Amino acid sequence: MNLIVNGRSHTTTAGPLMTLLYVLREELGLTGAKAGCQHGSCGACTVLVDGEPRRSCLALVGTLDGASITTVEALGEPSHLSDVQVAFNEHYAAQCGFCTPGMLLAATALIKRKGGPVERDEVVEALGGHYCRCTGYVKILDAVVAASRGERLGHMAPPTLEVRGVEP
Amino acid sequence: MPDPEVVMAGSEAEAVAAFGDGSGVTVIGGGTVVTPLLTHGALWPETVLMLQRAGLGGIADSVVDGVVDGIADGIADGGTLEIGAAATLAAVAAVAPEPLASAARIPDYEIRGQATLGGNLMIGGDLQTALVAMGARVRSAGAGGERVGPVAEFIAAPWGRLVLSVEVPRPRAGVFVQQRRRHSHTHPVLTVAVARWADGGVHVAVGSLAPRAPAVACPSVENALAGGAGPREAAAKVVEDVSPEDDPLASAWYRRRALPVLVARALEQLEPAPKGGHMNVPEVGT
Repeated sequence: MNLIVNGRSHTTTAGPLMTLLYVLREELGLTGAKAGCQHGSCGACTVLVDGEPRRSCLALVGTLDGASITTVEALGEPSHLSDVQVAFNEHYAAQCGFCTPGMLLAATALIKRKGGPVERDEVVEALGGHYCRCTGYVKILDAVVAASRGERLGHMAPPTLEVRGVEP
Repeated sequence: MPDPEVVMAGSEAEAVAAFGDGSGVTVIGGGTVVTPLLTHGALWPETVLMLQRAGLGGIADSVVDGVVDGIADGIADGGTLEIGAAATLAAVAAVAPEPLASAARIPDYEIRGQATLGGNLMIGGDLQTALVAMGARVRSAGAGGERVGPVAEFIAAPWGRLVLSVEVPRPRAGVFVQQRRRHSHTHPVLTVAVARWADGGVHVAVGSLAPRAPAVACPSVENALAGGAGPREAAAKVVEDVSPEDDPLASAWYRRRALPVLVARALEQLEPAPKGGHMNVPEVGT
């Protein structure tokens, strides 16, 4: 089975009944997609499959030959975040961050589908399958609406991001 | 235990051949229910049959440019949709009439883009109740060959059958009402679907009456309506058609009390100005 993951071809050695989540995390080391409930209920493992948000824990490798997969690792760089990532940062839409990758990808897909500003109820509908156990839903809705409108608050703090990966 | 044989069917005929009589075969349409069972080892069949490339995802409408099956004045009966078993719930929601469209919108965006009509029928999902109210017919394969029959009969004994497609008559108006707790991915407490037809007749179906219980038609309510009863009077008859049970979501006592209320609300939405649409009733105590 061959997958295009974040623009790069990958021939998986996983069997057809293994999940995409397994391939991403265990074969490719892409741990942005989180292994949350692993029953398709929480949305923490959501990635884009051919541009559409899908639960990677419910996607069997055998059904994905030739599919194009986008994970949160491809959304932006620490020094050049995507618009949705910037909005999440500016609106404090991430607390523990476990649900954030799935939320970011679902929100990115929503904004691309709509092709312009989205309403709050559209965000609720699009992110309805994503749980935030920190309960930060209001900030998340604020962030997605702002990102869709291209609004910037301008108080993002990049240094917070740049310390990631630096020795403890 | 050996790994399951995985068959990716390339056509309906291949799927039917691989399914056989269904013994030892687990079918994956969208996989939203089966995949976790496989992942966690709760299910380990001899054969896994995948339908994604079997050509079973199509939806055909008998109404073309206002003409039903080639009969220009046949629009009176609303025509039918022939929906493939592997059609996603998103595809169903996009084209189906009420009450089926609202039932197909119950899962979240990502699940309904992957889950399928056939899978939903097999697991006792939200679509069952709508399809019973609409008088749908299921085309299936399995022991004894291909068979077409009423959905109410099919869901009463679905195992050993491979759903191929579902024929859905289009009513004049429909309403889908569901009571559920405010959590995603929980089973509903009660489900009601009603459909009104060109001849004025109304079909009523209810579901979620017990764990794994199939949706059922409500002839007592339908007969009362045909006899001139109003929505509330007719809805009270629903308890004659059902045998609700206790489960962790609600007691049988509660279901008997709440069901006539939901049926009445659905019927009141249906008439006199049919709007169709979905009404989610907030959770109530059990």
